[in-house]
Amino acid sequence: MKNIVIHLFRLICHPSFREEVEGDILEQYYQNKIKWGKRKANVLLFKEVAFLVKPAITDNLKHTIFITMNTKQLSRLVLTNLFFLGCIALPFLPGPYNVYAIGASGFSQFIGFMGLLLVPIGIVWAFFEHRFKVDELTLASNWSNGFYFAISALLICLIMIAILITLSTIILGVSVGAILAMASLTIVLYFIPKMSRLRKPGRAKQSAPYYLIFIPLICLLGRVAMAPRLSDFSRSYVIEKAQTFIPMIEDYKNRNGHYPITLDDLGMPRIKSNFMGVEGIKYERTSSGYKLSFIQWLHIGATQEIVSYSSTNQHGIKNHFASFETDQKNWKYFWLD
Amino acid sequence: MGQYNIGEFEEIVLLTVAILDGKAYCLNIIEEIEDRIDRKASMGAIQTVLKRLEDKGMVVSEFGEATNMRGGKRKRLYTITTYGKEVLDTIKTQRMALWRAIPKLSLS
Repeated sequence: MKNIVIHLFRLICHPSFREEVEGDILEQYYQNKIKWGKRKANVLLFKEVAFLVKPAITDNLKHTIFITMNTKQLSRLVLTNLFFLGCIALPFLPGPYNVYAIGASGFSQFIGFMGLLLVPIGIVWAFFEHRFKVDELTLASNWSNGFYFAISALLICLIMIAILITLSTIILGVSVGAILAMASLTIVLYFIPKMSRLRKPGRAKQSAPYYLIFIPLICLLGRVAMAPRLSDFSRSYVIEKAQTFIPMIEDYKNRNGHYPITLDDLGMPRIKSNFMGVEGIKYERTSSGYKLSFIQWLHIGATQEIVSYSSTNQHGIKNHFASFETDQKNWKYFWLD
Repeated sequence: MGQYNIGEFEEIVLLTVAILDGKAYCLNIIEEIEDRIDRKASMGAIQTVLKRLEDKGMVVSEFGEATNMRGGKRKRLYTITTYGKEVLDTIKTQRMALWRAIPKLSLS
């Protein structure tokens, strides 16, 4: 317990204060051990280290947890995470319908779930990287510069890529699957020489473990915290837009005695969704009324969301595993696998 | 005290460093504060204040001895500087002037 807490402290403490503060912590620990016993001394040690997490002691992340990264690498990591967050949000952003936006969002959300397998590897790798940087251990030890961690991460990535390409091909079509396969192959080929360089002696700063930790966690956070809100917004927006057509359709019926066969009969342009992940609003005349519907792609949790309006509230959506009411009358949405 | 940009807790720590006369380090500062004014302080709080006082030039530090109990790590011993003493003197004078300005009736 003591050693774990001390190592945690080394991770957070600025290198220039480490010696005296660590000495103080240990001295207090031994005094507490004599006075209160080992168990309470351990608890007090943990509490004391927790209270040491202050800007004056940790100084800044660049000097502490990111001791193994330089500013350029840190900036690249932040930008990569922002890129993935942007990809998650893409289908819910304004723009013409784009199947690749849906694919990019699905890919990022997939990383947020399956990529969690990489987090433990990243944590252990970061721990070793940090230990070798902090303690200035020499290469006389068996440290491989993380080569074996990189190999393990690559194997998990290859399995994830295979699953993703299969799913994309089935759901979005062969073209998306092929593009994904080519992109994945390019990325893997880019990393293989970098990985083999890890075996060579040298103490270059290594940011790879932090990518394994942060990208899946940030993607998961983006999926959980951001995607539901964005999909609520895009759904409400498109429903509001589609609502404007309902009086026109009803007016057509009053004039002609029946509902229009297509929306072209109204003499209005097609209803565009204005969101990259929503293809457009479809109109369908039924025996007793009519239906308006559009599809949103959610990917993880529910692959597809069908938002439907039925003049008779008979939506007739099959194979859904959940359905929800909306604020608007006769509008419902359904989740499908 | 606005003139010297020093907080109440910083003043207490600075006074304690002065009391310990060149032997002050984080742990005995905590003990001294607890013994003298019955106030508990965490190591994090004391370390933060000591770094701040050092940045302000009110204390200076140097490494002391390493012991087995400290895992072979050296102590950082703090000493009050002339400027630090000047700050404490000024604060004391200002406080005394304020005390003297209170009418006797208000204290009864």
